[in-house]
Amino acid sequence: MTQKTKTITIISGSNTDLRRIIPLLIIFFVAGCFSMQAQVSSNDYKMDELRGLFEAHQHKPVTYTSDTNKPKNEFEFLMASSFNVYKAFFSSQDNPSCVFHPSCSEYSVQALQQKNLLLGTLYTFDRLSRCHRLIKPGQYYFDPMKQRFYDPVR
Amino acid sequence: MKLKTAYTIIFSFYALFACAQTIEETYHFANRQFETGNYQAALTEFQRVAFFDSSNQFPDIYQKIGDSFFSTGEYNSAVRSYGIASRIALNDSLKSEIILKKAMCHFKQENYFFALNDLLTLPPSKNNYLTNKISLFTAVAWFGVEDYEQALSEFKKIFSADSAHKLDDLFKQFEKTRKRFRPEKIETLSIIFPGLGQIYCGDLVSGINSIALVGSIAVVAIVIWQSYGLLDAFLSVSSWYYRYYTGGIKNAKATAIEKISVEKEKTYNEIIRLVEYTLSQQPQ
Repeated sequence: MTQKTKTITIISGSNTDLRRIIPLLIIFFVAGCFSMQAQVSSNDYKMDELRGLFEAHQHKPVTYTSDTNKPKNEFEFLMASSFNVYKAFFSSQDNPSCVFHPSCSEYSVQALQQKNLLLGTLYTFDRLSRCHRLIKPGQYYFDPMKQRFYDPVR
Repeated sequence: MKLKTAYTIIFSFYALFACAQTIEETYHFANRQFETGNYQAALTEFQRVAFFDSSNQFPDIYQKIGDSFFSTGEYNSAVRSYGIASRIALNDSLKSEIILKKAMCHFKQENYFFALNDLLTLPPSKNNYLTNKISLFTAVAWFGVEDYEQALSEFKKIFSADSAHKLDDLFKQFEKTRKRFRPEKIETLSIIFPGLGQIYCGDLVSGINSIALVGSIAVVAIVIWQSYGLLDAFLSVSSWYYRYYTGGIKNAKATAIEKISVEKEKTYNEIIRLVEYTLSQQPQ
């Protein structure tokens, strides 16, 4: 008799537990189904791949860049300022006339940064004398992305 | 000597029972490599399977090769593999799925005409999911080739009649921007008066810059004309004037194109968000 009562208590106890658990299980199941459905749909339609297709390529003006944040001396400050003014005020309104990449102004800055003042100036004049429409096409590597001949400071 | 003989005998017997990796093992190994993200290794193994699979045991092998190429960013090679895979596909829905993957490779390379060429060959499907996917991809391709009317009509196939008005609004707004910043119109404005096109596009700094530059050259030309004569003024200043006047016109056109492309990106992202939401509401 006592054993029977015990069994009934256990069953009724587990019933109350079950009553509490079942709604929770249903909620979890429904939420799980919804999340799985969302995952399947977005993956199957390749939405992640489609999302970034028509990214606008915004033009960013070229500015002077250096290894250090501050100019090392007065000459570098002058060079950086002239470069930035030229790029912002003149070059931005100019036709893309330079046949090389990097452009003559960028090349000049790089030459002055990498070499010394004398060599940098000579490199600049050399580049300016070479930058014209009559250059031999086989002499330089043609960069199809930039549509320019590649001529870095060597 | 005895040891050498013993080794030779042992390894000779071993060779009788030893066997190399089977084609199935290679295939499974390649699949595991692909799943773990080692696409280059997976690609090599898949290609090996394709080479040795003379009995056409793995009909999906070219699709797998295409997937590996796609994951490594080699879209041209992926297109070639998907091309072969679509020709040997066992059924129409599989063929459609492969062609959609091929179209995605074209999208990645901004070859929207090629994508359209493939997508328009797809037969109509009875499967709701596949029909939606084909419509979505075809709409994206039309959007890419800038035929927005066709794009809208394809996108509308995914939407129900009552939710399509949001899509209409997005396309109308984009059309308005395109008409407002039409590059030819902006170019003409800058031809009439330097800098006007840029100012119209909202780039005030560039507009003033153009006016100041071309105006300064014009002032210099007048000064030389007054001091030395018309021919001197023409010879010394005309090339500079031409350079910055036409440069300003090109700059204005580029500003208009940039403005439209920014709006295009915004509109497209909105459309994709809307499509994603609509598709998530539809039963699978």
